[in-house]
Amino acid sequence: MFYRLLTEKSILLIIILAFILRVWDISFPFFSSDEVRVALRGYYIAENLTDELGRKTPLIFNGSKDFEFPLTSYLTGLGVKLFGKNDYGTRIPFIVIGVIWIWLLYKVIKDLFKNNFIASLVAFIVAISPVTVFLSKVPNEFVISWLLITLLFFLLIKDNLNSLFVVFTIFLLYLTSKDLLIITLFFVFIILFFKTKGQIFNNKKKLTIFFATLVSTFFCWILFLSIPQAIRSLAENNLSLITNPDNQTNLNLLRGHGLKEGINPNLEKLLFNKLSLLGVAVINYLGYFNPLNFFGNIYDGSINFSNFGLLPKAVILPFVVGLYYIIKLKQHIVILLIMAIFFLNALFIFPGKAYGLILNSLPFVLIIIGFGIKNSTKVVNTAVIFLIVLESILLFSSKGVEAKKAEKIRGSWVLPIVKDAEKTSKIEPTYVSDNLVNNFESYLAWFTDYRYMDKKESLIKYPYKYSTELGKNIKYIHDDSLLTSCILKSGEIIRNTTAYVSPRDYRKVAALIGDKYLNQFQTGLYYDSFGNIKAYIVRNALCY
Amino acid sequence: MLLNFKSHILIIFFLTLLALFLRVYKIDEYPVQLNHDEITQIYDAVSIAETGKDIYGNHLPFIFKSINDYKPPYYTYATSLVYFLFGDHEYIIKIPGLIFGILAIPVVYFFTKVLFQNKLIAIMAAFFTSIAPFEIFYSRKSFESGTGIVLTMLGLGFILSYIQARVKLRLFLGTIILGLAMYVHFSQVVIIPLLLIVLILIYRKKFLSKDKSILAQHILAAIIFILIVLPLLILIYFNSDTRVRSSDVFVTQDPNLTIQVEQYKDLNGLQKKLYEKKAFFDFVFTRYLTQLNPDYLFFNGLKFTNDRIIDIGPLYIFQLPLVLVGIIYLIRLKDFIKEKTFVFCWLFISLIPSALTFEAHSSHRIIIFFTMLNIVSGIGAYWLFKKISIVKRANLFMILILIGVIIIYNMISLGHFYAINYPYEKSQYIHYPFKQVAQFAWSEYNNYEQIVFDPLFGETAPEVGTAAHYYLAYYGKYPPEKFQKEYRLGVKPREVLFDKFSIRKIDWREDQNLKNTLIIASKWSLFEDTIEKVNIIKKFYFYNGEIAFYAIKL
Repeated sequence: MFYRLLTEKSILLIIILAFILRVWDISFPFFSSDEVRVALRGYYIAENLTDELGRKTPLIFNGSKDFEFPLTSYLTGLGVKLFGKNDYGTRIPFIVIGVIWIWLLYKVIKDLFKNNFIASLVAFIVAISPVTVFLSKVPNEFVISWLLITLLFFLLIKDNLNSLFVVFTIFLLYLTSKDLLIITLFFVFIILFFKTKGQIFNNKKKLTIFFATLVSTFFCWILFLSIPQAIRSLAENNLSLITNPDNQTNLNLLRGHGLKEGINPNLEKLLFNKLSLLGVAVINYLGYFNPLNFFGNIYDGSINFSNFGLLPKAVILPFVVGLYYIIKLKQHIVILLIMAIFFLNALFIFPGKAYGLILNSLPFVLIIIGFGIKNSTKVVNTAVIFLIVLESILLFSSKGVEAKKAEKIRGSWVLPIVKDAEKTSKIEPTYVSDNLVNNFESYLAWFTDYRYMDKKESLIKYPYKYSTELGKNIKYIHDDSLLTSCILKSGEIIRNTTAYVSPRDYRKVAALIGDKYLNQFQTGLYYDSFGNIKAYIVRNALCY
Repeated sequence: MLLNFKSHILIIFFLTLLALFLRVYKIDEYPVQLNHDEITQIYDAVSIAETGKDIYGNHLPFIFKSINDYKPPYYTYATSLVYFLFGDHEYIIKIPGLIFGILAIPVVYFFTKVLFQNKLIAIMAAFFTSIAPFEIFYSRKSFESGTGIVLTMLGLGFILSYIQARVKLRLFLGTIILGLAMYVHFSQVVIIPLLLIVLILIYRKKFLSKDKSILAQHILAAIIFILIVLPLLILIYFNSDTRVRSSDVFVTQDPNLTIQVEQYKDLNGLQKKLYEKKAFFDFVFTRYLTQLNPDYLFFNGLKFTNDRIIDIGPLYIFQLPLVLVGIIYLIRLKDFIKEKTFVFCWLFISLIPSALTFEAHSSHRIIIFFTMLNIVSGIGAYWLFKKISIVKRANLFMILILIGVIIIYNMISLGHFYAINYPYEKSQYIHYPFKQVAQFAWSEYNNYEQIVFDPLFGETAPEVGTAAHYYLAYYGKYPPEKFQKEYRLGVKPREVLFDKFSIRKIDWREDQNLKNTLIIASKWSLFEDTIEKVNIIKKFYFYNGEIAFYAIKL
């Protein structure tokens, strides 16, 4: 019966379902510190085309770990312009993109396998998958990447190539993320190579596309490398295997053991040298192909529902079947090669895993799944559908628990602190511990009317991992801040102040004013939903 | 055919000799000393051989209490038999592991040859088995899993051979061997029935023969298998110690799972149960997939170092392309459908025990998986051989030299990690100075009224060396019969007493007042200023030169 339901029109129902799942409880998940910064940036862009640091229409933005490419921020700005400074403004653009992607993927798979059932089923999987729902609801680059990568793939595999549209899509990809800037040229080449059966240089139109991609890639790289800290950004985030000094230290240590035991130093050099890193690179790279990355519960709530794999677990079955038949029948080998290209950057990233690379490859994992569905029996597919639906019901009926579990990254407990801090800052000096949450200033400016943007800061042309300070009447307490007491020996209070201090700074306050007075000056507490104390309100005790 | 019967037998003989060399060479030096599992098993084995009881006085136990980790019995009993032959030497604990580690080569050859009807693949598989890091490591480490694998492959090999040749004897031999293999290790109890079910399903037409006499044979074989296995199952089910062991190593003991399950504590009734079950399933599922990480399989799974950038995996890194090619070759193979299905099912099933236990990675529980990967490597190498055998002789020579260099480089690397880096990095893990402590304590035996040993030790974090009484008793050649009588638990924290030894937590405020006592303790039990003031008569060092224990004269 289910199979008959999946007619041509079923995609409409799937898209409606996807839209409902994304709009339902729109404020879930609570913003992480990176997302709230992008949301706030979108607000400033919508207001006067500046970023949170006051720079006019920049092409590269500040991020906590690396530069951020502009498309996500400008799309957020568009959303805020249309829907206002609220959840709808920041989330609707990504919901819309997420839903369009489902339709586009449906089209691609339908074209590829000439089968509406497979396309509909994959669309259904995308509509209800944990990661696709999750990332369609927060400002992020991945949902844009999925759409653009799928679009580019769709355009390139078509017989009638629209060169202009292809180049435009590539430019949009380059405005989305650095990872895509690294791999898109290879991606385009491999598809064109397979499409022309290796005769790419004999096909004028395809050759034009390839050269257009080459030129635009070259242009974007020049543009990126002209940024003062671009090399540092690449070294720290994309080439850590080579640049991280710990890696060499490890090799030296292992070599040292041999030297202590009297082993010939030349043998030691032969066994432990820079070439050893090649093995690390290859192994690390191959690790990205492990189904664990797509189906295992290894995500902490920053990019997905915590304790849920990126895709429903039952989908591993068509995924494995798909892989098996790609190898057996030698069909769609290009999909495997594309995945290999998407993980290329992983060769040089160690230690740690670049989850962005895994996320970007998702459209092709879904195509493999489609191929698996094509080659599975009806019984297997029915069982998979049943299990997907079951897991999805469990997923969407546990949002309360999910919100709680993700609190370390998405702590909604910060909201009352933000609101109280804004209120007190209007009447007296206010201090906030800088380790309460990352980017407290963004939370403050997004959830209240507070503005911390300082014209002086707009002088920083290319901020790289730049930390912003708060404004005049509200200051951060840093770990190395010198705290002074506001209480004279006579007990007289010099000045009224309010401090929102973390447990780290609370211990310092206790040492400063003495445990005896502490209860007198500590006037409130903030808890997370597990009942842990996250912050203390200390009134009139700190002058800073 | 490329090889005649005599030449491939000769090759297997030489591969077995190679395996013998790699497993036995300097066995007395590497590993640098018996670890806590070995010391407990050897002393229990001596105790069983001499008294028929373990050191706690349990008569021929089905499961050994040991250091409250309730060890499976096979290895201890096997060592007892070796003790009867060779007497009391440290090396006797190694012998069962070594024998089966070496026997693995002909058995893998036999199994692979029966499975794929191809001598070259079988030789390649045997070659990888003879040099595989996990085979060498576990054979030298006195581990029972090797026996389990050998018996399982032998048993299944006989049954597969019976399917092909219909020789009755092979069916019954295979059945008996498989039944006995289940007694070796608990993971075999899970794996063997599953493999048998899969085998029967794949060859169901042959097993459910219409010929009544053949069907009767199969039923008889099944009955024999059940009769052999039944006592084991009864013991597992009814023996409370076995249940303790099972629950101690089960995945529910993993604190990470507990955290995940507890997240649903605020839900009610059925909903709570449902989510808790899902959390459990998801956890096991994720753990299962974690075993497939290539870095674990080919690069660092044996954990010879403390998470250094490079390490050694159960398989060599050069096997990785061979495994991939082998899998691709198998998938594309148009014949041997049943055989390749069996191989894939084997790979799938053999990861289950590790996914169900409390450790994130327990390589010793999935040795059967690695063994099959060696066979798959053999298939990959066979494919490679077919490809390169058509190139010109001069090029072929160069390619073979290159392959030889790669293999030798990998083996030297293994040797370095095993003999040099491993003791440096894992000194604490192998309880390195415990033997020296025990020998010193006995050398001072007559000079003190009491010897107190606090086995709390560690380089960066403290850990209790729970096998301390085994080390003391074994290296003191303490008669097991006497130990069984003397052994008692004391009233002080963690206190175990025998003879004049007290193994317990030291409370320096009280213990400093003891007289005519030798105290052996680490920095974790003594205050820094205490160490400066007391009369230290000897220091014991970890392998890397860090201080592990002080011997203090009171």
